[in-house]
Amino acid sequence: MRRIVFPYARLGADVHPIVSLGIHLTDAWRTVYAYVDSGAAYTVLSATLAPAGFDYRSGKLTQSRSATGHPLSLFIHDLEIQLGFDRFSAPVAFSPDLHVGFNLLGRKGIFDRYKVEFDDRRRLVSFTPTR
Amino acid sequence: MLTHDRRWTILKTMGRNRNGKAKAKIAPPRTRPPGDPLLRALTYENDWVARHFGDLVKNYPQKIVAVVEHAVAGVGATGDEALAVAKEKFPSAIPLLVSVPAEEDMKCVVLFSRTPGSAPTSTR
Repeated sequence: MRRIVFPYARLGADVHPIVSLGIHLTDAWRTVYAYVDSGAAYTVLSATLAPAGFDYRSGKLTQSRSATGHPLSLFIHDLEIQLGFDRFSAPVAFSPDLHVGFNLLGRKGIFDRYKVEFDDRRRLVSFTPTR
Repeated sequence: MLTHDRRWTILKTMGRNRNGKAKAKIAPPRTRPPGDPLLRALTYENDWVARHFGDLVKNYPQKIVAVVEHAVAGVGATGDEALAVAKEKFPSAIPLLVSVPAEEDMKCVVLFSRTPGSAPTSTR
């Protein structure tokens, strides 16, 4: 396993640590773009990204609350994901209530596998394997 | 003995700061795309989206776009809609699906991350 490095996404004068990851759903890979958020316990994707043949509501339901105070219904699945060259299983939640406008890459299954570094000076976010 | 100004001029031409350390460099974009379609989306298309994220937020707020070959190949309200359009043009590709936020969503992130005293691990 090797270190994975992503450039920050540029928005005007600001930059944001947003990265792409692959998710294996219903016998096909789907890629999504997610904000790396150390404050989020789970990786949370908008339910609008779930394919028609995938019943995201079959996951384990957990009620949560966003940092803005809005209630969140999370349907958690253990899915195979790909980050850079690495493939592994991690909990991924789908939510019909995710109104922040972007997906979140949270800690469970990711931050215990990688040392995640935010390098604002070089505008890079990197994932160094810890196992 | 070099004067301070002369030393600074030399350092600037060498791409170094006043302390003699190399200036931060932004990673150059990847130029050769990988052959594997999934890896291609996760690296090659990712780099393009990172560079053009501002344009996507400006042109496709609150939409889902499918990016293939360094361009927007499909737009929709759901991932399936965006993929269906992109797959017509690029049947064998795995497009990178980007949930494009509205500009206000990103301002919220910036506001929270810059507020003194806010929780360091929670930006939203």
